Amino acid sequence: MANDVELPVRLHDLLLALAGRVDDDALSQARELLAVAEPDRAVELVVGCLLAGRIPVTDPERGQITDLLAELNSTRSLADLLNAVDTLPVPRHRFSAESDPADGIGEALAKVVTSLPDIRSVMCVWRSTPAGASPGPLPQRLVLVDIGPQGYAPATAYRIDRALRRAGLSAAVEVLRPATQLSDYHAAAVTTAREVKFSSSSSGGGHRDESGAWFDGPEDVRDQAPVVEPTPVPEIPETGSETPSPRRNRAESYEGAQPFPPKPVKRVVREAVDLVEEPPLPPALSPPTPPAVFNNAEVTMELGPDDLAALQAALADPNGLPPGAAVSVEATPAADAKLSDRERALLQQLHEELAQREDPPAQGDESGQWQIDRSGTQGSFQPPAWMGAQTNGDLVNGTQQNNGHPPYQS
Amino acid sequence: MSDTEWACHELLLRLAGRLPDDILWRFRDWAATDAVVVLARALPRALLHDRIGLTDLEMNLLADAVLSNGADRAMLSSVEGVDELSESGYTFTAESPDRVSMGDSATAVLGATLRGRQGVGEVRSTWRQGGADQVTRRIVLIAATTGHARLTGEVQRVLRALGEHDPCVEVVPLGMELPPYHQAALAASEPICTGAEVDGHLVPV
Repeated sequence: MANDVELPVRLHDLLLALAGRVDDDALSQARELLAVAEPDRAVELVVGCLLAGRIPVTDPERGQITDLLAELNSTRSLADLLNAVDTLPVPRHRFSAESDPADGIGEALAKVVTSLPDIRSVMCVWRSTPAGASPGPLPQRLVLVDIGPQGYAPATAYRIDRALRRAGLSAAVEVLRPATQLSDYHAAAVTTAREVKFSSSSSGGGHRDESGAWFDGPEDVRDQAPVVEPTPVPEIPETGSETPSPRRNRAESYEGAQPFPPKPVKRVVREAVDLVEEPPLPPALSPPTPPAVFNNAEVTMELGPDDLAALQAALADPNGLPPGAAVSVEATPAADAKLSDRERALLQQLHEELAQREDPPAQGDESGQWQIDRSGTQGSFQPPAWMGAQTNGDLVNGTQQNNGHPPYQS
Repeated sequence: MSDTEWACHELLLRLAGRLPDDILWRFRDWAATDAVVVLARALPRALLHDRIGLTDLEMNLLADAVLSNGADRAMLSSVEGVDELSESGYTFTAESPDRVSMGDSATAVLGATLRGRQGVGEVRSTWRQGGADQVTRRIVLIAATTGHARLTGEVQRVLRALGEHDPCVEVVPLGMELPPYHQAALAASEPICTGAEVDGHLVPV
């Protein structure tokens, strides 16, 4: 029985639900058939793979397949042959972001992400476990694409898959639509995945929308899935260099969606990182910033531009206050006491920061603001207790990951 | 093996180099499983989609393979007949022209898996170039006396796990007159191992 959702979208969601159970090549082929307007062949391919591999499906999934077969004038009785179960076997997939799964992806997708509508972000992760009865080589790279309500999931999956193949990159592409609940498989993959950074000329993916949620699942799923906190970042006032895009305006209507880990990060901060061409951190240093540094950054961001200039001058002056600061203080006695307190606290903290730095940051520009936070991720990083589960364990079944797999090259 | 299974396997064998590799290996994977009922619908559709014509012998094999599993007769009637097969456009070489990364591993694993195995005769491999995608592919030729479809599926899965996304495994019944595609492949092949059927040669002796 048909419902309000269009058939290609329903079929896309079915393929998404089967990820990790059916082999990746079959899903890729089915998505291609769907994208080129051959959904009947796509459904039959899926049914054939499920039967050949005796892959179990739930009763609702079988019902969906029955409906799709009927709508596509195929033989709906094929669905009766499927192995329907009450509870699916627990997935045992392992994901890893080591060996940089995003290597080369940005270049391969730079063009296509600009031509496809409403791509919010692209993430990559390695999966070191087989999928389906006829699995391909391991590890398998997953490319997770988050689209907004204006995006076309089947077309996005197909074209990104094609772009990767043309670039000689083997990957399984999963396009996540808004307002759909992620499976455990995708939740685990997203939590471990590394975001692909695109150059500033490619405005499509790579930049996460401030209001757009990577994961739009309900609250209960978020509570169940493993959580990795992203690097906490200070809120930096938006500068004039950033112009709101139509995509952003569209995404703002989506604010009601519940964000899911990793929590949305302020886009302005990510762009600032891109602007300074920060080299990718080693995996061991990429986890979140220690809370102490985060507090420093929060205090720093309370300062206005004048305060910051005074503070930077103070940093340059080993005796503390710059000459200009005194003039400013005399002009506003009420602010004098307040700024002095801040400066004293900040000077103490920032001198500690400077002592930890190997290379002093450039002063007097905005990148200096950000480097206060960056310095905390290097050298003296002490992972907080909550990171233990993520850095040491398998996100799905709690066993140790073996991350020594080399990246697969087709 | 029933007549239906036999017809299905022989037809899929004869479609080597004509159906796209990514579809053909999948159909062969289905042929020995419960998915044969889906194959009965998908195979005629694939032939029509790619405008692949069949000889009279192949047309009979198609009817035997799929009609009993629910194929649409009208769809079968649309499959074009051909008097003889055109040149495949492939060339075969005994050694990989560009050394596929998993080549040596695949040979070693196949040798370890199939050496001395019951129902298996000679196992050889060759490399195919040309075709629409211009991709160099390993072609595995296996002479077998029984369980052809099942053996095909098994070896395909082994090769996929070793890195070949679209494995080309040709399990040839002993005594079968080889199609031109397989004759050309055999002529440029080299041995991997021999199963328990020591007289099961692909090359007539």
